[in-house]
Amino acid sequence: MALDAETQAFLDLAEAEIAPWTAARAAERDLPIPTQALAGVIDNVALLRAQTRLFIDALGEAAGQTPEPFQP
Amino acid sequence: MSFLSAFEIAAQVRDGDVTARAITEATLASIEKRDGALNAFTAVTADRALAAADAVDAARAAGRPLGPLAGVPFAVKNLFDIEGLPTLAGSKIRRETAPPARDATLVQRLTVAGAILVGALNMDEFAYGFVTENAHDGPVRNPHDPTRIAGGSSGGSAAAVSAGLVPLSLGSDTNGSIRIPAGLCGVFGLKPTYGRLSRQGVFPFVESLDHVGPFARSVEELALAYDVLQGPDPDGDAICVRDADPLAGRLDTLAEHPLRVGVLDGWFQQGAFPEVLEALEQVAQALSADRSVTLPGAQAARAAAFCLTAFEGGELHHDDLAARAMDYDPAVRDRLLAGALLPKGVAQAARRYRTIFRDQVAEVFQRYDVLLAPASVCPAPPIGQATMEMDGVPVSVRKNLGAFTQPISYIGLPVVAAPVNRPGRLPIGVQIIAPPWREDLAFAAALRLQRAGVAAAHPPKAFA
Repeated sequence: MALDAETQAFLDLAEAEIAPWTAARAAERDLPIPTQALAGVIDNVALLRAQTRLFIDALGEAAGQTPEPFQP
Repeated sequence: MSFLSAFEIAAQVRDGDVTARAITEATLASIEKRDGALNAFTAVTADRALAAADAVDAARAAGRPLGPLAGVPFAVKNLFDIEGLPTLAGSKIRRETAPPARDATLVQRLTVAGAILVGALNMDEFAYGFVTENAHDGPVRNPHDPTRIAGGSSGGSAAAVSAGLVPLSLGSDTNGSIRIPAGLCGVFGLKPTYGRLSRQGVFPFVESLDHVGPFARSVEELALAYDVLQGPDPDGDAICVRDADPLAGRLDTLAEHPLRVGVLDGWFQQGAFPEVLEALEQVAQALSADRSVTLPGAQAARAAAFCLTAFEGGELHHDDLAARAMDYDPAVRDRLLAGALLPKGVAQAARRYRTIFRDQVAEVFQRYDVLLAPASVCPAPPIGQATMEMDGVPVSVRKNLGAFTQPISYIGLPVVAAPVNRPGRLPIGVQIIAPPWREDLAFAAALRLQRAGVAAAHPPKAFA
């Protein structure tokens, strides 16, 4: 099952697209980002995108599946 | 008095050799005198402690039975509800919130057992970090070297026990926040199975990953606290439904049974400092662990935990971030803001991978009783150090100290963090990881290490 479009678009962001994506997404989420925080937030978004790629790759075809309820 | 064990204190109080009030007064005096060098406490509950101590003494005088922790001082990370005290969770924005009307379930359970709450402890803001360099309350200093961090996010909880200010404390662990400070401060810590101990009255961070547990200076004290804390609390915490599985009376026997022990390699050793690997080897030899175990999904599991944390943390704080972002600790704020922007599909995928990785690890536990891994990449870094090297690459200390702990809490496995016996050197901790609901196996291995002199919590020189 494929990933939803929003998640796929996040994964497909090029490095140069992260800053504009962050601004657009913050507006969409009604979450103003203070100027002093912007650079740090962009760095963190880039890191999260790289980390997301790791487990999406590991999931393969299962990436878009609904998760099962978790029990240890 | 400082380094008396919980057992010694409770026995002396029960036998009438000392009053609970005298123990409490000495504890409060010690905190007053010594915590300035550590910054472990953010509040001291002196009046409450003395009243509770008097109640214990009155019960004894009246011939009523005393609990197993009669007169034993303890303190809790400041995200646990304490009646009458705002639950800070390390933040500035919660300082004006109304104090809770009752204690968190685990605080209540320790109190019913006769323990005396003496205060609340410093932590990373909202538990998001591994360093306890709190922008509002200042850093917690490592009792073994005050120029270094105590680890986090339960840094105050580990430092207070390590320095002998209290014999027991409580912390929380979402990604490593009990195991890392326990290791860096040289004490024992328990991160139980996800759902084993009640989180009622504990300020949340990541509902899917939050655990709570105790710190102590010996395996036996950790087990004593664990037994008192266990038991279902379905009205307070929906995932805490498991019947208690007490260790009392069976820990000795368990420790004598053969254990099949594996050592996690690959991700769990990548970038580890040489002294960390040396300590791990020392523990492996003591437990006759001669086989390495690879969990191929560990890096992806760590990544999934990392993103799920950011997503759920961001969701939880969305409204406060929108209104008061500049009142957050900058290091935490930027991470939460980024998490709040993540698409929901990222969290869904992170949750999806969780059961896949759980099943991979369950397969490994068919062949092993416990698995070993370092608690952290390195011994305690200096306060203020932003980056460290892992495999020659500079990475953020705050984000990477938990590289070896995150895959394990992601799937909710129980872990005893044990301090390796390295007198005169900076502490290093090892994770003893057991299958779900088998805390007893992790305790058994830890007790065996302690008896062999391979694990030990040394009083720091400055506090001995």
